Amino acid sequence: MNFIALLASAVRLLDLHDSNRGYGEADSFSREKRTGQSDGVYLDIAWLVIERLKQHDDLAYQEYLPFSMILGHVRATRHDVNESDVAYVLGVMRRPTELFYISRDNGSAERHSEKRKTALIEKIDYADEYRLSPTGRGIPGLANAARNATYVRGDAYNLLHAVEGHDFQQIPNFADEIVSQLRAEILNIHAAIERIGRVDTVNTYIKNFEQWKSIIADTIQIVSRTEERLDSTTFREQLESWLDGDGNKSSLTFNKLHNEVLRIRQVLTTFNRLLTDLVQIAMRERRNAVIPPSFRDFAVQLVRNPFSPQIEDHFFRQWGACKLETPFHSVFDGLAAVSVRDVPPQASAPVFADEVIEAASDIGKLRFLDARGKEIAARLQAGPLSLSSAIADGLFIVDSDVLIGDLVGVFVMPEALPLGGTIEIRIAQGLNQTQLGMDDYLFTDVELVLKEGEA
Amino acid sequence: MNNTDLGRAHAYLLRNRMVESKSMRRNVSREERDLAIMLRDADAHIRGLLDEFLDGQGLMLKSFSDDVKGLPAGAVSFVLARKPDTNPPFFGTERMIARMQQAGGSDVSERDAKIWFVHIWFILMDILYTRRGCSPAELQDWVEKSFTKAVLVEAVRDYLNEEVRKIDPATLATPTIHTSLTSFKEGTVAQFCNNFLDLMMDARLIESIGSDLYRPTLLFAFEVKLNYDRQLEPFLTTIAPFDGATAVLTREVTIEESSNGRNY
Repeated sequence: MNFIALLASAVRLLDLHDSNRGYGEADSFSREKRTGQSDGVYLDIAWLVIERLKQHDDLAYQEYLPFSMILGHVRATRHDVNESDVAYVLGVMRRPTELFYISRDNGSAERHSEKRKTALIEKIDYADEYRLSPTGRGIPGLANAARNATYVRGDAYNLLHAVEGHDFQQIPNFADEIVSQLRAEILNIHAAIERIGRVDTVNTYIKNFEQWKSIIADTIQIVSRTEERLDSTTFREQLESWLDGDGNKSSLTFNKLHNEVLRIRQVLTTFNRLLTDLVQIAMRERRNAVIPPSFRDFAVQLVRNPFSPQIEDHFFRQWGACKLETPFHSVFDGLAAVSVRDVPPQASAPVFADEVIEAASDIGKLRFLDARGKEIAARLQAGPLSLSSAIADGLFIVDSDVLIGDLVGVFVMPEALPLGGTIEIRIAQGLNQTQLGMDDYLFTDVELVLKEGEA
Repeated sequence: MNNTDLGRAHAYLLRNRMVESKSMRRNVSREERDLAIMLRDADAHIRGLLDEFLDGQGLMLKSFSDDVKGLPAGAVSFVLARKPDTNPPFFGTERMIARMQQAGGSDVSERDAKIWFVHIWFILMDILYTRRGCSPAELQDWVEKSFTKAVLVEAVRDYLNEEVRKIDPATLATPTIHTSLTSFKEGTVAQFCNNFLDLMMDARLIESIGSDLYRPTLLFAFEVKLNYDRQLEPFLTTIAPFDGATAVLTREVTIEESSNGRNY
């Protein structure tokens, strides 16, 4: 009986049950004492007792067995065992102990305690006879629970039976169980191939290679049968009617179930390949695992004999923390690299000013006529006006601008003046000379005369 | 998966070196998840095309799923590893050197930056492989190789004090490395380690798995496994070329063979 797994899983939990560390105290709390005899004798006796009681229980259900027979069985294996030692072991095994635990069965956490079920054996009143308690009866089952992939064939049968029995909800559970077991084995094999030294796993696989091969072959066959059953019309009909049933909120679909089963086959195939690889490698005694060199020693050597530049460059490219380095330039490479001060634009775009219409008279001659036209007309009404007198009177100055050309223009083409009658232009003989500022003007004098009554 | 998808996957891989559909340690973006699924479901022709394309660039796309520890069940992970002897032209070292130079301000020359990177890298390899007795060909144990920054800094300091400073510079033909390794202050050493880790994380060779806790990525483990024999082992044997040659030339002789009079 492989009771170590059972003991190992129970002992840590028991440790926590017995812990008297105050809540919130230091997490390094430890008060473990497993003094004992460190020879496993009492445990051995206990297992022999359980073994004998189990045999007896199988023969006569719930019948008691006298102490002498138990002692005899123990002595058959351990010749030198003392009677009192066996009695002590029996005493311990029938002692109940109170266990406290929290149960969340009804949604709320409640504290419970268990006492009766903790005794492994029962003693009849007034006589020295024993039998296994219900808990004790479960021990061999727990200890022998097969939890490795050697038993995957059995799990595959479970799956097949779930499919045949239309126990739809159990199908994903069984499938997951198989896949997770195989996955764990696959990872173990991978690790075993790669590891140095620690070859226990490899030896286990080599020893049981033939057994493994038949297990895999059988399991693949069972899974194929499961697939066939799954594909049958009956199964589909049953599944549909189950899904359509009242209050069924299951998210299962046919495809989901089908994929679950398919996945097992894939994992099995991988497992098979890897296992063969592993065994082949191990048989040839050629492992690809090499012992790691001392990288630190190499670094020291590097201080003495540095890499040549070519090797160094190669090293960096091969082993360095290299990354894709700007071979594809982007406009964003230089994002905000240059800061620009916000300056108001110097030239404004043309704007059509449609609100303020510029007066036509502002331009050229019209501006002159606007300013001086009326005055010239009034002078003409009074009598003849000569260019020289107009210049002398400063009629060419408009808003401090010198518009002498405009004045001459008016004398040459007087129609523009706001006057009703005919205008006669008289041209004087000889040249006239006038000084304006720094310049001398030389011109033929012109005189305008308004002919009254001919208008 | 069409050619556009192919280009998208290629660009993402070049930039990030890893694509995962699910991760226990970091948030996977929707883009990354989509790409991982797309690559997983790509038909063999397109995958072959991508592989050939990457091969020409000195890279190799490797996928992992249920066959490696540390990946969530049903997840798929793609890593873009550098192939031996190819020196992928896309990957440059300028940024790496510049970042190492930043550790000690203006005092660190380009030469110093290179020297420090190489030596910290070897000390990291010592922590990850030599100290743990792990074969460089071991991929599965990548999950267990976590370390803290303090461990790295301490290992580098120990290396400098116990090994480098004990070498008499007068005995060296070229004391450049010795001078560079011994001329910086304690604080700068920590800063070098800091920048080294940043660079390794940036290149997706190391990942942060908690506050001050780091671990080599699957990409790192795979590259070491892939390239160790051809790219690192020859360097290491240059220390003692005759030892290396002896290992190649000799083999163990069984008693039967010797008794048959065959001499090796």
